[in-house]
Amino acid sequence: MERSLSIPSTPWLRERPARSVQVFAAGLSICALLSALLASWAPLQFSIVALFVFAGPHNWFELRYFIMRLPARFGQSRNFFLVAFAGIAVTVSYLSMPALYYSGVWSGSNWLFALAGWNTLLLFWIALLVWMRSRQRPNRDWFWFVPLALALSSLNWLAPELFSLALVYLHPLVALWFLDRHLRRTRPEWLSVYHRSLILIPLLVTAMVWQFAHGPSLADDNGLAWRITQHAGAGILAGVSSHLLVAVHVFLEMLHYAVWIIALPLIGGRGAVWRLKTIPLFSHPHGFPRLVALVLVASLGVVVLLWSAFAIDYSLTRDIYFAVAIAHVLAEVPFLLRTL
Amino acid sequence: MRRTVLPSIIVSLLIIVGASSVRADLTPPASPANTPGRQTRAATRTSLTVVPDAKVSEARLEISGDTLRQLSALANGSQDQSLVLGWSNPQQTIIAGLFLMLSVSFAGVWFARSRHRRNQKVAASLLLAALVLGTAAVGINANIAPPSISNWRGLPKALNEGRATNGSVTVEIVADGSGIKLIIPMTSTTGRRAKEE
Repeated sequence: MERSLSIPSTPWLRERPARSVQVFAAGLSICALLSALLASWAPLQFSIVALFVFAGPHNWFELRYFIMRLPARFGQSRNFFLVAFAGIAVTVSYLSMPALYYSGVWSGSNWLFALAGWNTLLLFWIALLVWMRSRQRPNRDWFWFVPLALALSSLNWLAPELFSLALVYLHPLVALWFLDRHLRRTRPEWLSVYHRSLILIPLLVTAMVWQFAHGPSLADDNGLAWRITQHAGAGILAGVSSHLLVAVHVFLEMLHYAVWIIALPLIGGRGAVWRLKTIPLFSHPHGFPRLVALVLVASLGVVVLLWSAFAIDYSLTRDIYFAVAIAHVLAEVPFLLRTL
Repeated sequence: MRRTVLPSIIVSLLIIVGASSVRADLTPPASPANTPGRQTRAATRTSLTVVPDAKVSEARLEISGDTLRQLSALANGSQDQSLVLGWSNPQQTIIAGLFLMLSVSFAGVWFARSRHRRNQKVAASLLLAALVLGTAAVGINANIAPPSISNWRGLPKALNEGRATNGSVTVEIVADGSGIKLIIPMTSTTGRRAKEE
């Protein structure tokens, strides 16, 4: 509690606690309602605009958040971080599948087998990280994750494409888990309000399902619309209205963006995001100030490049972005585990 | 540890052996291809979108590359079920089964070695929930209408309004006839009333 009070906060958070909690709850609710409304009203258009505007910046904010939580010296967590960095190899193996297919090296005939194999690799990597993290926290019994990971592997082998689609829909919710852990550390008095606000999400999704489940699908008669419906899983869930799929997908994505771009930087309590001295890896005597600055500036350049690429060829950039985006999905795992 | 692991392994083996003997008593699942009284060679399942378009002068049938591969596999009598039916192939099912067996085994080990009574309560609750949900699912499934009907329920209205309709469809290769025939499930109020009576 003392720790949370000692953290400098942004102006609107300096007001009395009850007021700031109200502002926080109102912000969350308005954001969720507005996203659901726009996603339901114009799913395709909202998806195009949201990805164009927020995809790059949210990745930058995530990168900054992760760098902020990287210790200057790994110490006893050395092996944990080594396995975490092995996630880069897992990402490369994922990207290599379509690359091999388009270069003609692999026919793609055993696509489902390869996809199921990659999903299993991902689950085993996560299980290994969970096991390593549990060894750092001896008072917690996380052995239950082994049967869970194996059960998920089993489901994955029965329907690999559905498993991958589940990842697409569940990944945005991981941001909410990050926010939960962050509030637990910095503003525990906000947690109960936050948890109550989360009830809105299943309610809004249920409302969307009720509204669009038996409605007509979106007209995906042009390449971009077809791509958006495919990214939302219209090709896999053939009997489900693509309007519902795209609306729910965009709604969840917007929540994800809102957490990373608005909620976490504001509640972070470490000052403005451009102040590099708030990053331990930058300011620590054994840190890497030049490398940190270079990485953050270069990634800002990538954000601008992504915007330019979207402006030049939106469809192609969207395809490439969704393939490469798996890297940030994987990066979230070790950092989330570190907060548990 | 040995005292707890050994019973878990024995229970897991009993479940596996029990499951295989129970499975032997089941009738094979009915598929469109083996329904009595139909001259159907083979069947596959995909999605179909009916698009009314005022701008075109003749009807057009568009088939995706994936569906065409499925259809040609179907026509050639391929035994690869992953191609023909869009299901997971036998190797995938075997691997899934192995992972499930390992999962149950490790869950048993976790349950047995758990020092906290809370974990045991959680595991017992999960088991109970799975049992209740499983039983409820069987009960509900028995009363549920075929899914394809609800998919196509709004077709006449959508055609009148010029909107596209999407639903699942079973593609069958039949021995007799020529051309392509599309059979859409329809529910009429008079038919429903007659059924109810």
